[in-house]
Amino acid sequence: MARLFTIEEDVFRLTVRKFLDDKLPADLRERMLSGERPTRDDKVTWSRLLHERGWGGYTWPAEHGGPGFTPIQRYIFEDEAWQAGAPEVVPFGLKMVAPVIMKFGSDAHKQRFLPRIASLEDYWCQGYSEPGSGSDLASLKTRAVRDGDDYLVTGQKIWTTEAHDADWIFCLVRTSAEGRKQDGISFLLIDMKSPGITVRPIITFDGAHEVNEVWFDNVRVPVANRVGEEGQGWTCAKYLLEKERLNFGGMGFCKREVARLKRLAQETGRSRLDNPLFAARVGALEMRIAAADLTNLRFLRAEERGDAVGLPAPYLKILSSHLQQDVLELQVRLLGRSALPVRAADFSNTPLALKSELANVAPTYCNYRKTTIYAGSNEIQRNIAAKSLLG
Amino acid sequence: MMSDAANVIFVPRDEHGLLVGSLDHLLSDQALIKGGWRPLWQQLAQAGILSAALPESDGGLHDSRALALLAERLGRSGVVSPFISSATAATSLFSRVPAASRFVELRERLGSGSVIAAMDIPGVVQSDRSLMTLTGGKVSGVARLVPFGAEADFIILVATASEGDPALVLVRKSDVLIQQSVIGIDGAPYATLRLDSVALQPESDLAGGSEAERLIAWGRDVLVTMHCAEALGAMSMLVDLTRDYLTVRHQFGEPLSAFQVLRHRLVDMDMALTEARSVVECAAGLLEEDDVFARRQAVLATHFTVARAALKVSQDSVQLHGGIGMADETPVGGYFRRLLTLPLQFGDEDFCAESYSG
Ligand SMILES: Cc1cc2nc3c(=O)[nH]c(=O)nc-3n(C[C@H](O)[C@H](O)[C@H](O)COP(=O)(O)OP(=O)(O)OC[C@H]3O[C@@H](n4cnc5c(N)ncnc54)[C@H](O)[C@@H]3O)c2cc1C
Repeated sequence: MARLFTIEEDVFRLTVRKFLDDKLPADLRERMLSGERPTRDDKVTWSRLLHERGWGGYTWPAEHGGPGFTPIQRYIFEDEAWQAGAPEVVPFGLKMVAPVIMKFGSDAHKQRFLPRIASLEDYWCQGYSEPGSGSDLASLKTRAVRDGDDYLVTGQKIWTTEAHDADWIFCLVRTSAEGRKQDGISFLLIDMKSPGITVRPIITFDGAHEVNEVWFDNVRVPVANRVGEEGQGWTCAKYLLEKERLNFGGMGFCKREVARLKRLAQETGRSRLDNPLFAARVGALEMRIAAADLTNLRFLRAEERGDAVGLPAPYLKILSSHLQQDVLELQVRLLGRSALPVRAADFSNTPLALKSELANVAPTYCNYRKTTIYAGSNEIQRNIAAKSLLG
Repeated sequence: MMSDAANVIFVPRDEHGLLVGSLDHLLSDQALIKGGWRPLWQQLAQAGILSAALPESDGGLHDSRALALLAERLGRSGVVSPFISSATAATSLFSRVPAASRFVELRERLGSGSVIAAMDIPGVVQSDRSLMTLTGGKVSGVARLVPFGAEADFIILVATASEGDPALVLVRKSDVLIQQSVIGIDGAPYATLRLDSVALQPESDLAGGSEAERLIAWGRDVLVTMHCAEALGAMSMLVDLTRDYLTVRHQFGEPLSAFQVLRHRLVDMDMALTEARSVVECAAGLLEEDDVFARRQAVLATHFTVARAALKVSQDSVQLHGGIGMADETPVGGYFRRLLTLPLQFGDEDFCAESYSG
């Protein structure tokens, strides 16, 4: 019989499921399954649980302290975790800076940083984008000037997710203004407690505080905190962007939110799934998710064999970002008027509390417009894919 | 001298221009706009904006096309106010109900801005049917999430009488219990109102039976059309903001407007806006008509077209702005959130598609 997974993989799935059943706190699970966005504490709780199980670096090879999951095991793990209601892991350390350190970092970097990433003792954020350099990242201006054994870093980063929660930031900085702009960029690891760093919140239009401006005013960073050679930052960045785009919890999110959509349809007492038009929208979305999910799996099987198939990074990023947005849009459509309230009025003589489960639907729909913008906008992804198809 | 052509849809009338001009003048005062709708409200009254829906004999224009233009300008300004329910739908209804002379004084007070009215007319969405009953001259039940329901002095509601007939009733603030008072995704207030055996006064019985049915359908069409007109204004602002941004923002050494995919996206947004304007103007022009079927079809098509355009324009505006489109301090997000309220309050385009050919 043809099957998607091997027996061993199915057994692995059960192991993961058992772990989630035993360990994931019920309260956390419930909040995540009702669409709440995780707090810093939630993410720490989850990472510590993984760490205790030896899965803190679950995306890492064994030689770096990971469990050495195969690509498919990683997929299964995330699929189960999302659907069980685990919070998303903080990707910046685990999935972004860690692979760069493994590939380009010194032994000292590996020893110092990797264990604290796996346990989430260090919370990381990503300092790439600048006000003038978003899609055109290579034009970045934040300067790092050599001063003895240190660099002095001056400039501004923007849209830095969770900088206000972070202990460390990895940054692309300009160490040379000569030659090709990509060649003057270096990759620095900077302690967020360094004097001269200022973090200012940016509130997004859903009302959330996720992103920030990070200002650097002559911040002293030891040269020892540079990963790779001076001028090799762009190579590190490109390697990392590949990783970033390949790491889409997107599909797990979509499945979880489709399940919630159907539950809400039942609970609102007047199942809109009985309406053929709406049912068709849900059905179409589920089939699109299935097709993207299978595409993801096919890419992973190829990775396992060491083959290159298609354009995994851009396609998965584009597909999963749209699907995430579309499932949230359907939730909004489903709830209609019930999705209007987002909080109790201030002056309120309100005896009834707002049911938070419904109050987060419209804001999350707003918030997830970000998915087609960040991690390389979908337009930039298409440019990359087109270049590879057409030259 | 007024030519006959002035009553043809899409041909503007001079008086509309004057009124819109004075509204634009008010809305150009940024400080006034920042203060929210309350300080603006008195200014709107003084400029004659709130009495535009009154009969000509009371100093109004009695012309839904003018009201749609005003709603559009308010939508463009980004200020969310009770204009649609109070100054368009309710004010117009009070001159259309049987024995409308009962409401001369109320109409005048609405026009002068000294009172405001909220309205809860079930939309096209089945599940949003009225939860209000009228038995033995008493109204009981719940009206869910009525815009400006807690701020209003009067509320117009639909109730089901014991024989299953609809009734259109008017209640005062003092008759209702505010069960829940919330802020919506657009930042506007909504309230769930409860009535416990409120005895109808002679003036609270607006209409019953087939008369009520006619007025309810009409009131719904006005509300939807005006909401669409307001959305049109918001979309026009988003298209302008996005067009401007594409010309000033540079990446890769070029303005964003140099990238063909973004040029095409902007064109699609503008095309959606253009169609939206056509259907809104048509529906507004037909609101005064006796041809109920033509009016209904026009309003459904408007609701459908604007609901789709609103999603497209708001989503693409954010996308083409990139990160800055997500920031609350730029105006894009505010319009995005307000545009979401059309499908939330009145249903998405599926409901229109289902009903249109039926
Ligand atoms: C919620 C959120 C979180 C983020 N988190 C982080 C983070 O943690 N760290 C970090 O470094 N950055 C982060 N970013 C920044 C993100 O990577 C940038 O927003 C993104 O790269 C786009 O850059 P920009 O905002 O400057 O938009 P711009 O580059 O100005 O783009 C504006 C629009 O033009 C389009 N465009 C630009 N160039 C082209 C082209 N050549 N062809 C076609 N279309 C083009 C874009 O696709 C977009 O639609 C985050 C952004 C958001 C919204």
